[in-house]
Amino acid sequence: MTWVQRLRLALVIIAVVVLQTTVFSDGLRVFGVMPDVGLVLTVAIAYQQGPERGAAFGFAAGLAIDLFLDTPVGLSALSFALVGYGVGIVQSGMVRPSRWIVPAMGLLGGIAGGALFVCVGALAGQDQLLALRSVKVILIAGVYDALLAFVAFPIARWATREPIAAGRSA
Amino acid sequence: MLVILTAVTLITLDVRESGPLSSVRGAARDVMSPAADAVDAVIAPVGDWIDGVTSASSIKSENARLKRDLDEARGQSAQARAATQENKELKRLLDLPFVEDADSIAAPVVGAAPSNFEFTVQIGKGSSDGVGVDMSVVTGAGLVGRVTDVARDRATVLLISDPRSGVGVRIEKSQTTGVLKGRADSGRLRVEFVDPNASVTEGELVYTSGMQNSPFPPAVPVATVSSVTKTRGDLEQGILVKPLVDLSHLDYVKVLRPQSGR
Repeated sequence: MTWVQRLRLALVIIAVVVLQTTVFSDGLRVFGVMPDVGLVLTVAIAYQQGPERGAAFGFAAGLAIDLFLDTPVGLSALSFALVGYGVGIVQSGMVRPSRWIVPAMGLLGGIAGGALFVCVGALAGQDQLLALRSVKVILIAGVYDALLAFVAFPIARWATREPIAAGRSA
Repeated sequence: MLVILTAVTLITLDVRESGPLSSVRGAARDVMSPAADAVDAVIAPVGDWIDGVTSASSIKSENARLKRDLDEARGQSAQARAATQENKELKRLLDLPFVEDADSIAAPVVGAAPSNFEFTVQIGKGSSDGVGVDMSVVTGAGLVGRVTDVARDRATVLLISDPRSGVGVRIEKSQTTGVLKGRADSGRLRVEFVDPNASVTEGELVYTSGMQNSPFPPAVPVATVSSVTKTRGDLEQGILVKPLVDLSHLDYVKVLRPQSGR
């Protein structure tokens, strides 16, 4: 990975944190639920780059978001990393992806990430996560993530695109 | 595997509150707060415009209702002033602290929880303004919550509606005590550990008990009783209360400094 790609991914992570802590938390909620911007981008990056890079990006994005949450640091990092790895594995097994793959990945990745966050959080002593409300939240957030995926996938393609000079020399 | 091990290590360290993670958190929030303020300044008018367009009819009817409530409140305030003065005199005689005279820091609410599983708000004052962890946060209507995390210029307030929140309370007429627990976004809170033989009725005021080691000062109004359920043989009553403060629309709050002797 070139330094330009790394820089773009770092900018994406910063944008994720700003969007998650300001725009989506303050205003753009649906039935009181906001999307997991970092998780959607993790799914998109993992789809483009495979399981290892997907897990690494998920870890970095999750860790950045964890610094602004009251839940233990590392919880989002672990959930996003596992989802990134899983999406990368699934993507590598696809022969001919359909046009519905973008929202489907957003939805399934969002639900899996939310479920992992709740389960691992409960193991880490966050008992308040084990509530019926969490199921409703995960499902609504998953649908929201599916819609956001239409924006996240092009951003992931841009962030991971090889710079022109590197492309020419190859 | 390395990523998983690192994440699990971080979770373990943070749960045990060891290591530099809390100072890293504070530093991250200090770095992000100017960017967050800038984005808020751009986004807020757009959000307000969308709100205005989509809520025009409900805003009109709420305006009419508020005008009626204001007229009623003006009439009651004269009575309240007399009662307040008498109350102050009595408390002075008994040497009890009076919350309205408490030293406090006014703070704007600058952000909501960045997660679907937390019920917190961010306020625009921090350690540089004298805000500290476990300080109580109120509005003119009643209790909002307590400060759980402080950076230099911002602080996180855990709302009383958060399931992790617990407030020692007393119910007005029976003077029975209990613990107020949050129930997320249900609009109601639950009072637990209430004596099953105590007589509690709907509409009663619930306020902080301020018992030993409580971070909340005594006599801060919190909620009113909305329903009481008694089942024969139960060890406690099922009491739901409605908070006095509209926790979904907070603009400004007051952070109460600890009083001497607490």
